[in-house]
Parts: sequence; C-alpha cells; structure tokens
Amino acid sequence: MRAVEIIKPFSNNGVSFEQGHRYVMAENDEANMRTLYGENMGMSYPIDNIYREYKGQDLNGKKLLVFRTGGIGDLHWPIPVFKYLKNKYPNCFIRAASACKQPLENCPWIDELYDMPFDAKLLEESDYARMFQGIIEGESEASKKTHAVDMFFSYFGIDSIQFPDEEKRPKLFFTKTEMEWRDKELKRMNITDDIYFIGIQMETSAPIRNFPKEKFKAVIDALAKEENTKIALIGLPIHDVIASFYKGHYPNVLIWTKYTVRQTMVMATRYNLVISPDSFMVQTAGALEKPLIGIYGPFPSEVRMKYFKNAIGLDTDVVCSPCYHHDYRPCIKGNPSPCWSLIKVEDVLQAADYLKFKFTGQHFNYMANFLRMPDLAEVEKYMMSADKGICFFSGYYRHPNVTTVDTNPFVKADITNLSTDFKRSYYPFVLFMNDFTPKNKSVYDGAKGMVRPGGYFIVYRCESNEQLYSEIQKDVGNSFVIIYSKFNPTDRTFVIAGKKTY
Amino acid sequence: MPENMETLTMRTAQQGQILDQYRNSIYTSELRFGLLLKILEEKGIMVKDEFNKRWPLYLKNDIGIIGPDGIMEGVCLTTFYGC
Repeated sequence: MRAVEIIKPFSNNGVSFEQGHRYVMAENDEANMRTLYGENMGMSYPIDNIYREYKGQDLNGKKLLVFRTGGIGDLHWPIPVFKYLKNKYPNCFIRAASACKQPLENCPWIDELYDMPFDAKLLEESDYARMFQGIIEGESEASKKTHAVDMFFSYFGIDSIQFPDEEKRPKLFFTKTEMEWRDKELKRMNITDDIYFIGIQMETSAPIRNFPKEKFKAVIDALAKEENTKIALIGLPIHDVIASFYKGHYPNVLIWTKYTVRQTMVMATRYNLVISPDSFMVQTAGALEKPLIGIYGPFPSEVRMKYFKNAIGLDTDVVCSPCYHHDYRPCIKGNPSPCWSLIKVEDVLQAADYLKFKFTGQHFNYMANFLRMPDLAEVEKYMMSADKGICFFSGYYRHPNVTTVDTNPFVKADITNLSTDFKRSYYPFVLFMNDFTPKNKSVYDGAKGMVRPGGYFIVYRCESNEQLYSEIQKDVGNSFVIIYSKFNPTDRTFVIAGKKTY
Repeated sequence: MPENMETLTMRTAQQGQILDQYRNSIYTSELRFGLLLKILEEKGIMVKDEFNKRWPLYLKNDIGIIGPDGIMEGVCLTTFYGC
C-alpha cells in the first residue's frame, strides 16, 4: 500500500480525488490509475510512518481503521471480528475501507465505511490501523487448514478457538428501503411466496474455481423442469453469453446479470436454495443462513463453510486436490481439472433435493430417477438363497435378503450392524448397483472377489448406454459364467448376472 | 482533456473491447465443446474416445490421478455443515 499525492482533482470509479490530498491505494491500483490519470497524480510514499498497526491493544476510546482492497466474498469474514471488538470495547470507533465494501454496508459494528482508495488523513487520525490484505490468499500452511474467520481473528490477535459457531458466522444487514425494493422487484417478476426460488452463481472470478459449463447446464436443465420452481442466474454483465446458454428456452430461468453487488445480496434474502462455486454467493448465503450447496475444487469447503448452517460442501479426494491455487490461470492438469471431473451432476442434484426435502418436506420430481426401484424380477431367484447376500452402493434400493453397504451420503443407510457380517469373505450372491464412479471401480473389483464358489454376481445399472453395457458384460464374463444379461434401451438400464464356478 | 489522454482513453477502451471479444469467443468455443460432449454422451459413444481426446498424454501417466486403466481416481466427497 502507498499514499499518492494528488496534483489535479479528478474522479475515478465514483471516488473523488481532491487536490493536495494524499490517497492510500494498492500498488497495482496506483499503476493502473497512472496510465489514465498520470498527470493528475504526484509522488507516492510508503505508508509505514502513518500506519500504527493494531496487535490486540485496548481499544476503549480509540479509533481503529481497517482496510482491504477487495474480494466481495472475503469482505464477509471480518464481520464477526468487528462484532467481537465492538462488544469487548464498546467505546471504540471502528472505520472500515474497501473497494468491495458492499457486505459491510449497514453493519452495526462499523461506525464509518469508506471506499478505497481513501484519504490518508483517515490513517493519520486513527490510533491504530490494520490492513488485512493477503491473509487467506497467502500460501501459508495455516491458511490451508484454518477457517477464514479464524484466520481473521488471529490476525487481530484474538484466539477464537473457543467461540461458538454462531459467533463466527458473518451477518448481513439490510435497510427497510432495500427490503421494499426487493419486494417490488419480486412482485414485478411474479415471484410469489409459494415459488421455490433457487439462486445459482454461474462463475467465479478465477477459471480454476469454475464448475464445468456442461455440468452446470445439466444441473440447470434438471431444476428448470421442476414445477413451481424459478431459478436466478447470478453474475456480471460479461456473463450474459453463458447465462443465455444456461437459460435456453426455460421461461422460469431468470438472468440476473444487471443487478449491482448490493442488489444481488438483497435479493439473496428470498432464495430457498443457493448453488455456488467458491465465490461470494457462498459467503452471502452462509451469512443469511440459506440452504446452500458449495461446489469446491482447488480449496477444501471446510475452510470456508465449516461454521455455516444448512450447508452442503462438495469436494473431491483426488490426490492433487486441494491444490490451493488462487490465481487466474486454468488448471495445469487439463480442462476440466481432475477435481471438477469427479463432481457429478447427480451429486449436485441429490444435494439440492436433500436440502429441499429438509425444509419443505417435498422432493424434486427428478428424484424419481434416483428413487426408482430397479427391475430385478428376472434375477431375484438368485437372491433367494437361505443365506443373506450383500449389496454395494444400492442407492435407495432395499431387499429383505440383502445386506446393504451404502456410501451414498444422502441415503444415510445404517451400516453399523455390518461390522461382523462384513468381515466374512464370501457371500452366496453379491449385488453391485448403479455406481461406476472411478473409486467405486476398485470396490466393484473387490466385490467380484467376494462371491463364493457357486454364488452369483449381479450387476445393475440405470442411466446407462450400450458401450458401458458391453464393457461390463465382457468384464463379468472374464470371471463368471454369464447366466442372464439384458440391456433395456427404453429406460437405459441393464442387468447382468454371472455364476461363479466351483 | 489533453490529446494524448484522449488517445490513451480510446486505446484502453479498445483493449477492453478486444478482451471482451476474446472472452466471448472462449465462452462460445467452450459451450460448443460442452454441447458436443452432451450429444456424444446421450448417444452413448462418449466415454473412452472422448477421454483420450480431452486429456493430454502426460496427464494419463500422472500417478495417483489417472489409474492404470486410464480412469480418473478419486471420488466426490459430500460434507454436511450444520444440517
């Protein structure tokens, strides 16, 4: 940060620069502004001599200035810190300055809010100051393991480990005028109270954190077909092209790229569900305690979402993730990156349904596909042996003669009684259903080995295609004698049953 | 406004336009690619060929990410926070 002297007055991005004053700004901002207003700007100085750093001193009767250039999402994190400081030192005077100050507007724990760059006079007048730039973007080990709010607390010399989650959750405050504007907008767009309203942030500021477009399109396709549901696509004007692709011909998908950041945040108070990659809507929805799905790749969701309520984080456990890349370059591993390849459309849709069911008691219609009972009539006779068989990854399927091992987190199957059963090596039949994700491929191979001689290995899969069918058929044929095999092109399901020879 | 300032402002605006066009063209190509993938997947001819086209060779040898069978290792993790 540097203080730049102004020789001739001018204004930039809504900030007026007065002649003879010095303004505090980041080095890169200074360089950018000099290309346009070089003649208006004079010497620049380091701010070291006027910056009296706050390191946890007593603030009663003192003035504290806190500043940071940007990151709308990141500006949510210091809010709990301001609350703590204001409660501990009720007589302190807190000033905040930022180029992305929207989350801090109307915050009762901040006395004055300024744009950035700000007049260096503010810094001179303040007893203490704290610049909180680069806390969570840094490469430090602590920032990789610690939640962003805890990082901010520790930066202000406060040990937050014992604080309850509510104290670490950011909060947003809106005026009556803003809420009236929101109601008017909702009325204009005919979004009534009975509509299930979903907000989807399309993109982040960095390509590496963006969920693949074809997958997002599939998610939006599925949600847009639901009755009584409306979707708002949240973004900036530069996202218009992608937004029109996502919208397609669905009348209930609204493109919201023209709202300001503050207006977007006000509208977020109406959402019944928010789906967002690692960007500011995660923080906004978390602060408003809205049901939230955060899709995370390069960063673990835990360090951003741990203290939220009603939130689901989707991560991957591929070895290169989390890579903690926070820059604007795409992933060096390819496009889409390995982490984005592993988060499926179904994962997002099931998470959305889980949250909808939790709060409204109703499922989405697309869940019929997930909840559909497989047609196993032709092979059921193989499952009627006296001894119980075992079934892997069955989804929602249950059978009296089958012990289920289910890793689908949304089903929450009780597998506690399996501890003894599961240790047995061989079963009269093993049913493997529906899940052919790469990790489960190894489980699939393991499951094949659990069939006892003379037993059956049954594979079922819906939402399939002929290529997968022939591949699995060939694979089962290598270890078993195939006794039943059928692909149904109408509902795209297949069943393959093989018998293990003695 | 001095003359050189005017030129500079114009140049900056032009650069902005070029950047926007560039960004849009990336979007369009990615969208086309995404649509193509979707069609391929629906027709049931995606999986392996598409994978080979899409993933560079060095990545296929990336131990721990791509298994010996050419399929990506790892799985989606779902974490529930306060629900």
